[in-house]
Amino acid sequence: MRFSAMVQKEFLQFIRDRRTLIIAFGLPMIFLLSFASASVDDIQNLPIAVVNEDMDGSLSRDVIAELEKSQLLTTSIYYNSVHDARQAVINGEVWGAIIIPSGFSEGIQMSRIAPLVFYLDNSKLLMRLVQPEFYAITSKLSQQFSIQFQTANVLPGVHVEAVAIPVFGTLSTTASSAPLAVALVLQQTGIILTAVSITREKEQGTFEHLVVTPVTILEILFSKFVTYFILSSIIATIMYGAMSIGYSLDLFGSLISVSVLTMLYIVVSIGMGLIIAVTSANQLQALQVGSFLLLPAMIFSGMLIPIEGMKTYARIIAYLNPVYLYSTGMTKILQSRLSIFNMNDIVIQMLLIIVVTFGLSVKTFSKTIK
Amino acid sequence: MTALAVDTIELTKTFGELTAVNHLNLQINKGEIFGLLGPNGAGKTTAIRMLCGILAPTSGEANVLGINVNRDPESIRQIIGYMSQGFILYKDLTVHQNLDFFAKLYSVPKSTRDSRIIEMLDLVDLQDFSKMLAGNLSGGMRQRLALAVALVHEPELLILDEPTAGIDPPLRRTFWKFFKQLKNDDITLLVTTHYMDESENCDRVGIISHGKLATVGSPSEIKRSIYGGSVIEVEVLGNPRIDEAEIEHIDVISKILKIEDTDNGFKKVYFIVSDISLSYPVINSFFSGKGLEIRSIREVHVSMEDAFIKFTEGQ
Ligand SMILES: Nc1ncnc2c1ncn2[C@@H]1O[C@H](COP(=O)(O)OP(=O)(O)O)[C@@H](O)[C@H]1O
Ligand SMILES: [Mg+2]
Repeated sequence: MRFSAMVQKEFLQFIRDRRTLIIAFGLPMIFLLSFASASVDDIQNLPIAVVNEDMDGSLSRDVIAELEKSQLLTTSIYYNSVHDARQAVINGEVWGAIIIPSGFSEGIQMSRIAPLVFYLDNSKLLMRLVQPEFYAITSKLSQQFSIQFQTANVLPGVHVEAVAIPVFGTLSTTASSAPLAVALVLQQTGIILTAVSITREKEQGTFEHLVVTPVTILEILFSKFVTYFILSSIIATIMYGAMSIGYSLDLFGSLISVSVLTMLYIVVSIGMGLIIAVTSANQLQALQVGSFLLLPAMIFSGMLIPIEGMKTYARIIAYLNPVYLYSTGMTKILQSRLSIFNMNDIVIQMLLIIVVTFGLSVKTFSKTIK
Repeated sequence: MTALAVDTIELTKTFGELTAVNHLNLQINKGEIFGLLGPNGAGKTTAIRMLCGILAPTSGEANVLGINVNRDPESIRQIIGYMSQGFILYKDLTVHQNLDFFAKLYSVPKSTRDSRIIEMLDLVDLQDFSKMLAGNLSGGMRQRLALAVALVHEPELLILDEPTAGIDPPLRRTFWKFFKQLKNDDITLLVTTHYMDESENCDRVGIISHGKLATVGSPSEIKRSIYGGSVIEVEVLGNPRIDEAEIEHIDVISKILKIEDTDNGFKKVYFIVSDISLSYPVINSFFSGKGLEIRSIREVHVSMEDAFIKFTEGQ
């Protein structure tokens, strides 16, 4: 009797609190949606550049025919020079470049061994699919040529040697995991510090006292912004400092790009904190919403599940996800040594998020008081 | 310059279906202590928040010290001091840091800031606690700090929302001592309370009920207005049969409120009179003329509580 009364009361309280409801059922929904949307089976026709330096050879056509059988890759772009193809990989126009070296056919026919070269950008998550596909193609070609040239059993089989060359060199694990780690930490601290400091004022009533003083809403918000911008910057410096000393992450080549992108990202995180602050009634809610964001931020970061394999709506979420923007931008900076000034799309998207979050929170904030 | 510190015209605030403040016309003179008295939910806080310019009225207007609050809320910030309901200072700042922070928000110049803070600490008797975290203060000390903070920029109008709620009676008395001191410094005070006895300390009181002003006046005016005069209780021996006609021609007596039997065979007659001192000889001769012996005669004290109940019930 007493027990069932307690249970009943718990349920009633749970149902009454709309925000708790959203969090309780929203979280599993996001989980399901994101995993459903993230099936990589659907990935098809990733463009691959081909450079055929073995035009005269009889076997290069067999190679291209085999490439064209691939579901995953499509060999739509042909280049005349290795340099151009490699550049296309660096620029992200293609997922890789396959070079059929001159003398390939001759090598197979005469020495039963010849290399196929594959230029790839292994900072891309999807390379986990593309690289094995390349190896599968070379081993199929080896088999095919072995049968074709197996005149006598004594001869050894044909070997098409797969040579994979990362265009940005070999990756350090720090460089590939740092962006996501820093992105998540900065987003959480930025959001939570900002949101809690504002909701605390609302909850404890100090806010009411602030607004009767001559201080303006903009001054209140800007003072919070400056404080938490400085704090987040210190946190970011400590994290990257530790990684550069302890794990020899090379930052110095791109210090400006790293700093600019990170500062931009901190502003984005604070902007999100502001939005959460103005829509939450108290600190607890702000904290709940803040931690609620962590999961989708990771799933749609592009660092764990390739965005390319996601359904359109999920891709849109990813492009709106600051963690995705920062991680991909930082990956490009740390691994591909690209400059922030060549990443207009990421910068513009972050600026848009900043304008929207700051604009909305200032507007909503003024309304709650008046 | 207007002589009114507060002047509202048909000030109204609705929250959805609920009308929290209902066409309120409130006038507060400069230099007085005005008590806004009303039960919980009467609309005191809502009215005050509109006066402070932190809540927009649904309709009507509020003028504070000659400034239209709706049109120019920024101009009143510097001249009003506000102490809101409940503790609203920074618990994680010390007493001194709280005062210093608000003094800076009000641009109290550096040259006078420290002396002003010391002055305020002296006023509310918190000199020895200036390094203590506000969160560690007792309830009464917190309220004193809140008062000091509300005063740090030398406002002309001090608006206090239930400043004495939840503190013990001796400290409540101390608070009213502070308020009278402030009044002597030419500060106008608007104080809300639901303690009836406190309202006796006000120059004028407004009783608010369901967002409307039920009555306004000095405490004695309000108390008299309940019965339309003072109440005199006369205890007599015997059976005083009194005709309304008998007293009609006696000027000082307005009417007979009621006649009660006492346990020991006496009768108690309650008269409503327009002037107490004039009424005593008149009542004496009235009863001796009837051959009735008066055992006692006294004024019945009408409390603000009676007034409060009369003006807030059945609305
Ligand atoms: N922000 C609000 N939203 C909805 N109703 C409110 C709000 N503020 C006050 N009220 C309602 O308005 C009425 C008056 O409240 P209030 O001014 O706080 O009364 P008082 O201060 O006299 O106790 C109450 O019924 C209260 O519930
Ligand atoms: Mg109130």
